[in-house]
Amino acid sequence: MSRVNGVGRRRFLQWGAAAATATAGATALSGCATSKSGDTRSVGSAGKLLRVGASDATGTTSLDPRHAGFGASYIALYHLYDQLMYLKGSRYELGLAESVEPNKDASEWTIRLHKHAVFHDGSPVRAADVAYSLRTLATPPSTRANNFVDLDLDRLKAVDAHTLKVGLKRPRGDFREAVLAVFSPVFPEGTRGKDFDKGVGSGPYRLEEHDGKNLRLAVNDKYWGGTSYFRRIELDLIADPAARLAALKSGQIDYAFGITATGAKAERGNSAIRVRRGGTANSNALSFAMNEQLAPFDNPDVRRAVRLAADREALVRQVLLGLGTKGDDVVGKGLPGYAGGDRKRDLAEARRLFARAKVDSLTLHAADTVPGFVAAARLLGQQLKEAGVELDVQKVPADTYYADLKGLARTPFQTFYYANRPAAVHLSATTTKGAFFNVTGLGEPHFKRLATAQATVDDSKREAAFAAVQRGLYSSGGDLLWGFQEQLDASAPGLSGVWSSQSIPVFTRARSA
Amino acid sequence: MTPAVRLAALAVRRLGGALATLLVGSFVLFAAAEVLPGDAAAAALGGGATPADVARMHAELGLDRPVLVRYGDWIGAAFSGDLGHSLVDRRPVAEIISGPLADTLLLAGVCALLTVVLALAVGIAAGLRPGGLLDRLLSGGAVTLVSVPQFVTAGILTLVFSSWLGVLPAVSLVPFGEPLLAHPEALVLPVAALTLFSASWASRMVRAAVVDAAAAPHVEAARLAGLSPARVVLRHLLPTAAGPCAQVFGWLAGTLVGGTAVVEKVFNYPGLSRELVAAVQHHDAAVLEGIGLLMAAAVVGGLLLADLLAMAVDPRMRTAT
Repeated sequence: MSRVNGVGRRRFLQWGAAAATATAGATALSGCATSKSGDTRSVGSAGKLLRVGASDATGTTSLDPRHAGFGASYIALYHLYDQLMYLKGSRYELGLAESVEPNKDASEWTIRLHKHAVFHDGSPVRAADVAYSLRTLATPPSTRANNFVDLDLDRLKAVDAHTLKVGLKRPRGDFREAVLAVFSPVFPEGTRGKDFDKGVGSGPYRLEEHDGKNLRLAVNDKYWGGTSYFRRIELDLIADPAARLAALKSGQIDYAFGITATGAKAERGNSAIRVRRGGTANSNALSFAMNEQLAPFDNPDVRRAVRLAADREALVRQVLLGLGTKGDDVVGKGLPGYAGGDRKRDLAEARRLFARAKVDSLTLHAADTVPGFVAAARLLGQQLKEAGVELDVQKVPADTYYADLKGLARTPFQTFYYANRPAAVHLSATTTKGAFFNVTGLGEPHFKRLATAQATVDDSKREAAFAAVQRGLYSSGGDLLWGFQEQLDASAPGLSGVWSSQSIPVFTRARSA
Repeated sequence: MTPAVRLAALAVRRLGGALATLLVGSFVLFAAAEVLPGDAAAAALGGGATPADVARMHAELGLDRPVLVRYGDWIGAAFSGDLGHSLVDRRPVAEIISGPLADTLLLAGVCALLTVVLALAVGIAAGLRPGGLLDRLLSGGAVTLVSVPQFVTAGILTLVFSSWLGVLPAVSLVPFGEPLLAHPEALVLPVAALTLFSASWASRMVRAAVVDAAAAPHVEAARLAGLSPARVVLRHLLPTAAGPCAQVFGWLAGTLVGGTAVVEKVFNYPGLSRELVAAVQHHDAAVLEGIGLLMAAAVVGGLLLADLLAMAVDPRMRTAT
């Protein structure tokens, strides 16, 4: 570097080092930063305002239940629309439905509605509205159509104003928990297209304003289930988790939906905010998915060897920074109906199985669809090396990862995650024939076992049947499910009463201290 | 040919070149949107759609026509001001991006203005005494700021002014129905993060131009002739350095429009980058192409402006081209 430029090479390096030191120092110090504002704030004398910062999987906030993405859109939906049932933590609860009962073989269900429910436009909620909602959700372009694939739409009939018969194409003893509790918002009959932008439901909040990104909800004083504490909820779309945390710390929002494990660790000692851990009931199950239809994973020995070579504790410790739980290849840990095992690392056996299968190298497609997936893939590479196998980690873009569903089904080995839900829900939602993401290449034997379990009416027998399905997946399935990444949120310390459904925070019973 | 006519002819030629560049760029953009993994029709319908549903949606969106036919229709409409309709919500692309574009232009505009002032001041001050204490201080500071990634600068600014001092908002949230300009405090940190980088970079270019100009024979002659230092600088040195500086600022003006993405993300600024990311996620090629074309036009326009400015202030540039 010439003298004319005024910066010699040595000096340049010195300045570079100084800059790096300053950067590292500032980053470390950010963890110790204190907030200027802590408690939730009130808005005038009219009542309380809760400001929530959230991202959305689709990059926008949609009030259309057919297309909504995980994040801000779902938070809005949970407050605008009543659902027939809810999955609350690890339990199923009735919502707009007063009762949901099967016939003798669970091929037809009768849903009775609360009689006093009213839509935000003043019209009463009728069985015909529920029939219309289920029909709409079950029909493309609804992205949730797969959830309702067993509904016989010709046998969806309102018996009277508040009673509905739902006929199924095949018996489903798990209809309540595996279909209605997963997603069942109700909207007025005839709602279509742009009508959804108005967000007319019968939920505890109604839409006041929506600019496509951010929205404001006002409490529904006529709500049949009683009124909520916060008079208004503002939902701000903030894509970056660090920006959400910064906004919370500076008092611009009261609740940050989704922060990173690094952020949660850094803020542990900060009394001005409260980090909220979702536990296993609100977590993502993180997997390295092996497709058992594709070589070399069509050989059960290879799948078993990969599973035995992984050091799951190390993955949870290093990638999730300890803010999660070890996984044992089956979804649903910590939730009702779980029948997984406890997988121990066995390098000697892994080495033997790899040698028998003549496998000494593998290729893994990795994308940060959840933060840390690529890092986890690299760590797995080191662990497999100890078992004598070279892992080629091919990083692929996260933004377009789900764009090519057929491509996903043709990938032998890839990073993949599922929402951690009770076994019955997960198996029915993601491992049935025709499910969107059959990334482990499940085949007919599994589908038949699952269909039998789903059709079982007796609760305890059905649970036993689902347990058998899980044992099959544990012994020879394609998921190396190594950890449960908890949903991590943060809020002002005075906020209480927030409950979660499938990782989505619901503020209907929330209060400010 | 008079100098004015020569300048006008050069400008027309450059404009033609810029339009050709834009045309090629638009084709590359269209092709890139085509090869993105996934399919807009499938994305709009969701995972439960059957192949027949996807085929029907393809026909509805016009995606079943040959690529070149679609490109021809699109570019023809684009040059007449119609950027088409979103494949996802069917709104006009111009309507979708007009608000965010205004906010991005506001951010880039304020930043460009501050960059010109700061870069000129720092670059001239440093370049007049190369190797002196002031030069070393200013150049060192500039190199440091250019070396640090923008998201780190943004993080440090947030930490100091929002978390520690509590005087500025951490993210650019604006109350419903109110324009961004009604809350100038929401602009301060994004502008600062962007300007620190661009002004530092530009000041290095200005400094280099000043150092080069100072070594020019006519400047040396003016100094030996006994003219006052101020007169040497104002009458001889700065006009010589003006051409390269103008090119730097013209180029910067163009690239700033497309270079705000990192800062917009960190501060949740309501600009174009958010729409761009959403368009990629939705496979909304129409919005993607609209935003891409605008950004390409900004860069090409900036470069054209840079050339024209350079030619206007430096007669040598007119003969050199």
